[in-house]
Amino acid sequence: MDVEAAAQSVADRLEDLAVDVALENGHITVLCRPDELLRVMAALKGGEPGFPYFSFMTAVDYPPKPASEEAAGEAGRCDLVYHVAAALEGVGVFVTTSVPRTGADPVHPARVPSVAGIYPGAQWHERECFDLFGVDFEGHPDLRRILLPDDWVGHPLLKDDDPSVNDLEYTPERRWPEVADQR
Amino acid sequence: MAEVEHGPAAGGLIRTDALPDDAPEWVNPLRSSVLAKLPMGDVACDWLERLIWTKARAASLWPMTFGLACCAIEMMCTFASRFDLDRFGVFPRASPRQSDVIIVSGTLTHKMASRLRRLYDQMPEPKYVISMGSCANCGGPFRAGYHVVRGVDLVVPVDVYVPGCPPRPEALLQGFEELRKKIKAGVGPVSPVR
Repeated sequence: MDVEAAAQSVADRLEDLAVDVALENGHITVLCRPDELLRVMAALKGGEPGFPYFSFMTAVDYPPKPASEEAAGEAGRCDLVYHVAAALEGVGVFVTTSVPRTGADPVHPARVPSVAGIYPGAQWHERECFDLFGVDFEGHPDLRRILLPDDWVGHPLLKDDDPSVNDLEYTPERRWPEVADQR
Repeated sequence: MAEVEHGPAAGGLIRTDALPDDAPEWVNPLRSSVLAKLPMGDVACDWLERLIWTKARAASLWPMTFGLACCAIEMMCTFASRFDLDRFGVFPRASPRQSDVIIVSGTLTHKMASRLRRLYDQMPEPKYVISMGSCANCGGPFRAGYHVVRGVDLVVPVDVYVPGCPPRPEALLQGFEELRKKIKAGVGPVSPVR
């Protein structure tokens, strides 16, 4: 099945769900609202062709801008990008959804439903996204840090994160005691 | 066992300062032999240590490979047939218990730092550290990153710094040569003060 036919199939399936379905440079891209995300992913996994393989997901952070003299302030947002693929047909779909940054909860700056119930392979990807961006995936079975130390404070890929609040073990001011003795 | 001051402080090479007080005699068989009880036995022991132990040590450095990043590829290449570190008696081991030197090759993250320290602690004395590549030397291009230790000498005492990003295998060969020189000269681990 070529990519045009797959794009047409995806567009037919997501007619009522997605905001936009397009074919850009050979990639099928889907834009949807966060509350429709689970239904979009379920529709993509089933059907013909189905996209049963969860390739990866990531987030893009747009931090809130404070109001200045020239422009009004902007509320921040987080774009979440998912890629699912049909390995046998050799086509994939990018699904993008945009969620607002919740200023009230600095630990979880954004909140989306977890797709781990539909794609079990998304569990570790969502844990990584939570680790680095702090996105709260509602319904994830085991949402904890995967790359950074367990006691890390903050989410370092957020534009407004300050990693210096962490109590690091080894710094030029604070090294292993024996190493300091040998100097 | 005679109370002899030796080790790095006395210019000797056996680091008895790292041994517990109740270490059994077989830990240092030369010092507990008949030779040490003879007149001038200490001097003879020093001389023999310098002659035998250091040459043996320098001639058979078994590295614990601590490959962390792209420098590890160059390290593996140095062990492989083209550069063949085996011909210098350098023979990679997979266990810290069997190793004399640890090659830290690559970017050390804060999460990995405690693991490096634990593996270093598990190595038997005398032990040496080669810091391979810019990341291990000072953090390299990731020095400003939130997760990178700014040099492995903050965690373990380093003997030889091999510069490069990554260093060519010849550079690692020279690093071993410099370490061999240090062992033969009896110089302990020295990291620069920063």
